[in-house]
Amino acid sequence: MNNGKDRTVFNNWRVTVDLANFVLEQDGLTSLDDWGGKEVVREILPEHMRNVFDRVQPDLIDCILKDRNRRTASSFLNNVVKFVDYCEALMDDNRPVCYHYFPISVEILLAMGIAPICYEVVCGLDSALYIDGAEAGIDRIEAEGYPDHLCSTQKGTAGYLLMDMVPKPDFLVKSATPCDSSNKLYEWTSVRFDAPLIMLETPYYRNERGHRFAVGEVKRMIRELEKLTGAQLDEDRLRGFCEVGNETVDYILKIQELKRKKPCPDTGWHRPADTIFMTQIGTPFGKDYFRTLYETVKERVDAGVGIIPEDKKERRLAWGYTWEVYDLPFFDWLEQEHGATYSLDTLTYLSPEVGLVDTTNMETMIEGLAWRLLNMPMGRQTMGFSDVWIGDFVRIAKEYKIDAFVIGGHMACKHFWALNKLLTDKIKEEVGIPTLRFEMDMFDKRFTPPSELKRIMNEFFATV
Amino acid sequence: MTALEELFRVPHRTENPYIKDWKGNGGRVIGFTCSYVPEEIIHAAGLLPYRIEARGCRETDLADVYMHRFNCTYARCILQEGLSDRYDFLDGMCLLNGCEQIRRLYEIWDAEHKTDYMYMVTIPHSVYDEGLAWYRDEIFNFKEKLTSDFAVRCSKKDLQNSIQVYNETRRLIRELYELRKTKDVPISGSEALRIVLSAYVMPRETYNELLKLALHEVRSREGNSSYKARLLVGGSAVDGPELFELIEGMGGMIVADTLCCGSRQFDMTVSEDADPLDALTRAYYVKNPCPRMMNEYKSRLKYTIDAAQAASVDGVILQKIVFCDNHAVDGTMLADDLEAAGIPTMVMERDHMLTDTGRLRTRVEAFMERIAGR
Repeated sequence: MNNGKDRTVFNNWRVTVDLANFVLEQDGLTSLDDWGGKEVVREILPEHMRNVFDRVQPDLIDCILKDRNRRTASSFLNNVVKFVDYCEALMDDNRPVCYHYFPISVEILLAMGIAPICYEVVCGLDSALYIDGAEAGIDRIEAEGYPDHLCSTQKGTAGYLLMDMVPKPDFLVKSATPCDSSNKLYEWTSVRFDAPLIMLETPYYRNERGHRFAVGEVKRMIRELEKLTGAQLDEDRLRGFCEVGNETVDYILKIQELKRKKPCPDTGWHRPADTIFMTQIGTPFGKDYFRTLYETVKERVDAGVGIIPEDKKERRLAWGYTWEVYDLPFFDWLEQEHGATYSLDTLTYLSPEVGLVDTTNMETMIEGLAWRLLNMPMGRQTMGFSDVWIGDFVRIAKEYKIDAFVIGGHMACKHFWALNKLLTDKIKEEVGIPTLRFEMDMFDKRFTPPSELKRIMNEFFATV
Repeated sequence: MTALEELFRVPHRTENPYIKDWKGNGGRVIGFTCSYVPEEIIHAAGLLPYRIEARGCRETDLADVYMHRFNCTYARCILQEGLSDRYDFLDGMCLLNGCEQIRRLYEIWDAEHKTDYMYMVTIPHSVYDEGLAWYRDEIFNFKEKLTSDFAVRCSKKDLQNSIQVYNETRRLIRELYELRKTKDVPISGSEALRIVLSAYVMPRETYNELLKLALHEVRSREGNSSYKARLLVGGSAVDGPELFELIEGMGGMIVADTLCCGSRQFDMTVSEDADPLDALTRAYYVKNPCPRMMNEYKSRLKYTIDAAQAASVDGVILQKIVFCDNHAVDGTMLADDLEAAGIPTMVMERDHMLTDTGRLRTRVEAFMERIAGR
């Protein structure tokens, strides 16, 4: 099992959160400029925070210092540390490390005492926090000959594995959709680090046959995990995590409902953060993050206020595919500058069809988790025929009274790039709203820099 | 024209005399896009299977409306040919979730090309018992829908007959590959590829008869040993001879491949004793795997090493079409391990349309200099 070394990335996150807490605790600090700029703030920081402070995006610090963002930013960051603590405690206890794909709900891994590290979160969180994102990892794997058109979220983490910056996997769990790029980089990881790869096939059809097959796949995963760990899945432990997961899903669905309100009560930078914690459904820290989010959004709804300035006319956007993560304050800027709010996207939209897991017995829990596997964001939209994706977003555009449909297309997602015209055509035909499409790399700012994102949006709003 | 010359022709889809004859006699043609679609099903139903290709496609302006520049040019060229009405002879189309770009062709083709019969067969991404059962059901459902929509029969006996016909092709093509293992090679790689590609565009019984005659001609040819290096080519789908001609134009002799349209398709034999549907499912599912099959890297590596050693190659060229993630990762992994096994390997990126031939020639030339006379 894992020797628990290679925790550089985790340690950086921990210091980053200490840093965030430090600045949030400073009375009267509302932006770095208020205190005389980044250099002045650096001088008052404890010594051990300074290197990380140099890497942290200054705009992100300014963003979390805003009153409207403080509470959820604090919850987001502190729950990241709780996740790190949780994984490290398991590793210190010589428990195995499993890298898993983000649309996989992790209750089974949790119940088996496996440290669940989401492969995509490692790169994603670094991209969100630091000026240089996960570029070192991305560049490292590309230096091995792996091309730039592979998905950067796996490339960043793969590079970190080569750089001994994250724990090595004892095994990996991957669902087979949506993409070849992620599949292949999981297989690369499996071969390179001699870690077994459990592939969960996601059936192409969303029907009884598909669900039955998915149930069989979850059972097969359990058998393989039991073989790898030598432990048996305990029903009561699983039930406990499923119950926490159900509460979490309930919060997510309630937040989605509240976002129907005009003006939108929730800020857009939460969506990438949501994705990170959707990988931790079943954990207390995942639940805590979404509960905080729900309470914050509910308070705004009850107070009848939105997230945009009162003098702005709201422009309600649906992001028909992904967010970007390398510039979270961009969403804050959209709200403040253009009154453009963010409803839903493919990576965080949890269809109400997902329901809750019936915790009556082992069989019902497996059935529920299999159903969730078929309905987790992105997995749901991408595993089969495109009508699910198109149908979801036509409905969202209508029900959430969307004014414009934005598609920031992640360059690595070939399945999406072969679908985007059918999707936008249908949106125009059925809802009659303008659409904007642009290219980006969700995790690597070098592809479409933040300044270019803003230029694109300025131009779009000037045009429509 | 001799049989060999006939098989060298690989007729263009719009001028294919076999298709014209077939259609002229009331026959119907079903296109398919991936080597995991068992052609025997289509054949046994009395329909003509046609492996979709985009030979000769030189631009993708129509396809680019639907598929972005981040999509591979193989998928885009196929779509271009469809949107250019050059696949109007198809009565049906069967796609497979082989890769994410080809699987998305389904929706676009369905929306824009209006082929009457559209079907998607899905195959799991790894090889295991439950996956085999899923794939068997998929093939069964495909057969049922095909026979129902076209009002044709596809009995057990029909399937057994088709399996025999296709096994005969495989046996003959393996003979062709054996002839290329000699030092004095009687047929170039590009010529052999033309023969192989012809299998996908004409009635299989006709093809088998032509190939039997052609093999006699090949055996009687004088061998060629004046090449600089013996090569194996692997990687992305190759549907035309131009790439092979370019490589051999630099003095290489391609004596083996690990292509999905080549050896990987013909190195298997479908059991003629078992239940035909079971036999087809098993043979296609467990055959030498495409890189889209996970947890099969070691078997792909072994297959490549075995093929390289059996044909006594001096080097391996793993060509990949830009934006093909499956071959991009697999090729890079294979290159490292083949080099470690003492087999010089070059990974070469290309588009489906061979536009940057100068760059490709330079790369092949440099590789040949490295390996020639080792």
